[in-house]
Amino acid sequence: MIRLKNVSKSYDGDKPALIDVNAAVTKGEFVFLVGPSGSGKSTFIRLLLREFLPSRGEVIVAGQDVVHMRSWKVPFLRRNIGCVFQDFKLLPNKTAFENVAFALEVIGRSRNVINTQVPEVLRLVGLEEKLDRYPDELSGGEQQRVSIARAFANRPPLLLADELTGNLDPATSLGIMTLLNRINRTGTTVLVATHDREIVDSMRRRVIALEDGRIVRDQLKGVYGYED
Amino acid sequence: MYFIKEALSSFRKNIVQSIAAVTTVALCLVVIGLILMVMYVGGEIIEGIEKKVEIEIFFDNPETIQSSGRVTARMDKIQEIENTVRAWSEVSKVRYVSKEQALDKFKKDFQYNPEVIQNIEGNPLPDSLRVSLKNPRKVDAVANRLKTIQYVKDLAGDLDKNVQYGKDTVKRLFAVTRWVSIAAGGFAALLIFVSLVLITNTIRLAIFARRKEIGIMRLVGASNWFIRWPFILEGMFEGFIGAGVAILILVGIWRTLFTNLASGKVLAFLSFQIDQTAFIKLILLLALSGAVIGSAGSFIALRRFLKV
Repeated sequence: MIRLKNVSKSYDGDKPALIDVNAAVTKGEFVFLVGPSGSGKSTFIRLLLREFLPSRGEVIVAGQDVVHMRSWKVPFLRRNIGCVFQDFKLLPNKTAFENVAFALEVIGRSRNVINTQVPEVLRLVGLEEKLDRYPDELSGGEQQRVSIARAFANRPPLLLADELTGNLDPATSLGIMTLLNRINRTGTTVLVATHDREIVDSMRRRVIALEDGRIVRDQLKGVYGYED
Repeated sequence: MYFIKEALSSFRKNIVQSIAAVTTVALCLVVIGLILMVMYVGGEIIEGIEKKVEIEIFFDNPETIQSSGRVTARMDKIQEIENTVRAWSEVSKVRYVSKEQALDKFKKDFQYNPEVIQNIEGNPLPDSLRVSLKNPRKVDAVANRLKTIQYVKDLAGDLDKNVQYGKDTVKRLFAVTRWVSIAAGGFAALLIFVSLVLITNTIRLAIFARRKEIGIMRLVGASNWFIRWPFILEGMFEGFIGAGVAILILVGIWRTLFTNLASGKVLAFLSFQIDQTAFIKLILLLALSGAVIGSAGSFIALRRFLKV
């Protein structure tokens, strides 16, 4: 599902954010990408979304060569990737339903599809009672659920999450993780970038650890790592 | 439809900005419209003057020809020249003016200066041919060609003096026409540029107001054209309304001008008319340029935003 080969990325003038990274994630896996702030987790995620190109190396996502992809094809790549962020990125003037519907609308799904799919995915994340609430009427955890619902509404084969529990308390975070686990069980590949020790240790899934732009550890059923 | 709905709601949300953009487009198009109208009227006037540009061939009097030993049968030859020249494709009209007709005309022109007429003894004016052209700009070439005709050489003697067409006047006229068009065109281009910049700015603000939305659209894989359309429509819409306002203003100006003209108060000496079709063409042109300016402005504003 994801393959990075000798990938390096440096921003202008800065020290490199990723150095010679090799990694492969197969379909259906659940992977934590861990490491302290500035270790290159976000760069890793954004490369997969082709928000920018690597300075060197090869990036394959969902069978597509991201580096040599024509830019007009990028939107179609992104339709195959669900994406969740720390700051939720919900539209404040739209209800939970409309926020999820919006994601389907803009990729040209019909009204019919939207009207059946949106309530279904909101039920999946446990918000079937709160379809008509605006984001500021929802708690942080609920907002993150809406954003997961939006990411998953189009049933993408790959779900990326960048620090999605960064703004949430531990109990809520665990709830969100359970939800991701459930999504993973539907066959969706899930990649979670986080520095939340507790959730990584509690889930016991594959862990890829980054430090200063290099992969320092890649283990199945791993934990967050050594004491800081 | 989604795009139109989005464009309209964005227009309403940024109503102040939108009105500013519409106003600038309207102002620019009014000025452009006025320039076009003035150019049109000026063109009519100049065309009128150009039509009056004619080449005159003055023929020596029979006595002069006789005494210099040149061949006779003068009237036949003049007739011959007239026929030859009339057949040229550049020529629209050839008119024979006898010396008597010339004198009558002269007397009429100077009827308020009887002393001038009194000073004339006999009829010093020559017979002549007046050649009008289809395209007055070719006057030089035609005049030179006339000078090569053998009969003209025979009958007009001193060619430089006797083949006349107000060379310098014509040249100056054409130079002025050209400079006026260039200056007006440059001014219009400048105004179009200004309106383009202003529309671009409005749309940029509209984009900025919705950058979060656009960010999400790009994240979930909306195609670039899908993101672009509402803004392009918005710009087009603004350009169109601007053009509409401009057209209304121009119609107003046109009306007042013409009621005054008809009553002979202003510019009565210029007997010009903008005919209906020319005005409709002008309206269509303005509406079109409004829409083009609007959408082009949006496109420019979006270009940087949508780089993947």
